[in-house]
Amino acid sequence: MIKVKVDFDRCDANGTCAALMPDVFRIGDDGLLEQLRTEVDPGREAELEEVIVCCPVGAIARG
Amino acid sequence: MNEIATFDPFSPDAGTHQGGALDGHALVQGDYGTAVLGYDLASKVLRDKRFQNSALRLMEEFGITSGPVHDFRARSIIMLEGDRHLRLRLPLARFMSPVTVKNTRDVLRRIVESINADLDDSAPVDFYRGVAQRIPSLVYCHLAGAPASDAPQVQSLSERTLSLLTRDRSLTPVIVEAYDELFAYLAGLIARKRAEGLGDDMLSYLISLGDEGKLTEQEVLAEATSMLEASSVNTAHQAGLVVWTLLRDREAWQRIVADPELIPAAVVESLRLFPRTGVVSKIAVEDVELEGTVIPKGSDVHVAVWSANRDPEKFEHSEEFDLDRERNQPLTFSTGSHNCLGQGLAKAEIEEVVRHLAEHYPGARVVEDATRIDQAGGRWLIGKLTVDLKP
Repeated sequence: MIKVKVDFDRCDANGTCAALMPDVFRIGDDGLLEQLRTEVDPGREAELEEVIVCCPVGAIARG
Repeated sequence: MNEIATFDPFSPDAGTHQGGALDGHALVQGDYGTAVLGYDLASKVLRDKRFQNSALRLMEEFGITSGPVHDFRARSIIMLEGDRHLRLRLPLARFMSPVTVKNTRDVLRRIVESINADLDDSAPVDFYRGVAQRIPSLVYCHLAGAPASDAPQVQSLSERTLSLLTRDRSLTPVIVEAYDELFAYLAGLIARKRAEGLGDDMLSYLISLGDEGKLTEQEVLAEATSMLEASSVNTAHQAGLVVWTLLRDREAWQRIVADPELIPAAVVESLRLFPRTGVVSKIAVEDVELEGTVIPKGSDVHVAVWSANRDPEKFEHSEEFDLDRERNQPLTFSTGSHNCLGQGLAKAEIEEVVRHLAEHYPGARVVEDATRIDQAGGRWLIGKLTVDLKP
């Protein structure tokens, strides 16, 4: 499994990640980001890579 | 709430408001529509999909109601939601996110160095026109795979197209002419790239997405246009504003010179206090209730980012420059799904300008009587910025 790390000090809840991997990230009712999973299947490496590269504040990384 | 309807976010003296709620009201109304002044409410509105960017309507109010410029704006990334929005956002994000910007640092450094090599540092320099204004368009040319000699035209196109945001209707012919020139410039650049062979730059990537059928031809052009219009003018002013802020706070400047690791925090704190894009204007696409007030469908909502950034409820001693703020998240680049895509790149550019000054000109000072910083309705801009590099 690949570990997924969110830097919540950087996160501004813009929701790009939640749109790309909705089963891993979600914007909660309070408008803030919730991380639903801390690991993803190795088969989803490319998907995760896209999320990491597309986060405009650089808040997501592989653990 | 309407007892403070006299407050106008676009009036020249709007900036005298210290920031945050006014007489306890984070939301105020007047002839202009609704203004949001508090940080929490501003964040909420910026993240709320029931508010859409007002740029298309502003164009329509300027008399641009049909034709290629109107079509472009209606189809552009800032106006779309959902899958269509994401489809346009991801290709651009790929080239500008903080993660990818790491790989562009060396290029940014070379650009800053090449510009500074042209400067005569034996006398005070026009730092805005000589340095800050020249960098972003060169960075755009690098990203787009355009020759560096195109940079002055790119800079001028960005400035003229985005002059819409000054809300000066007399500029309509200038804006339309600028977009026509921009479309023609991009069409030529794209044709040249096709003829010469695609590279690993952003524009080549967009063209290849078009060839693979992942973007339509119109979308490719809209993407390239969005990138170009946003490329230069705001970053140039913001870079000037940051340098102006840091050089005038000598205590902070000495700390930065001694410890360049502080530069990113110093840039963010400067962006908080003096945001170039001080107001983000939206339109309610349906009736929305905020703080017990119903914002009717179709009405204007102006998020006063400059006020939110100085909200004392959010930032302690909000009017003071503080290098040591934790979780410092000003709304200068907006937030939510339409936050500024180029923010990672813009911050990196500004950081490299500051780094260059700190390394080579630690004694640099602003020449106050040859400097003019303007502020209209919370939008900060450089009139003139003169810096003595070696006082």
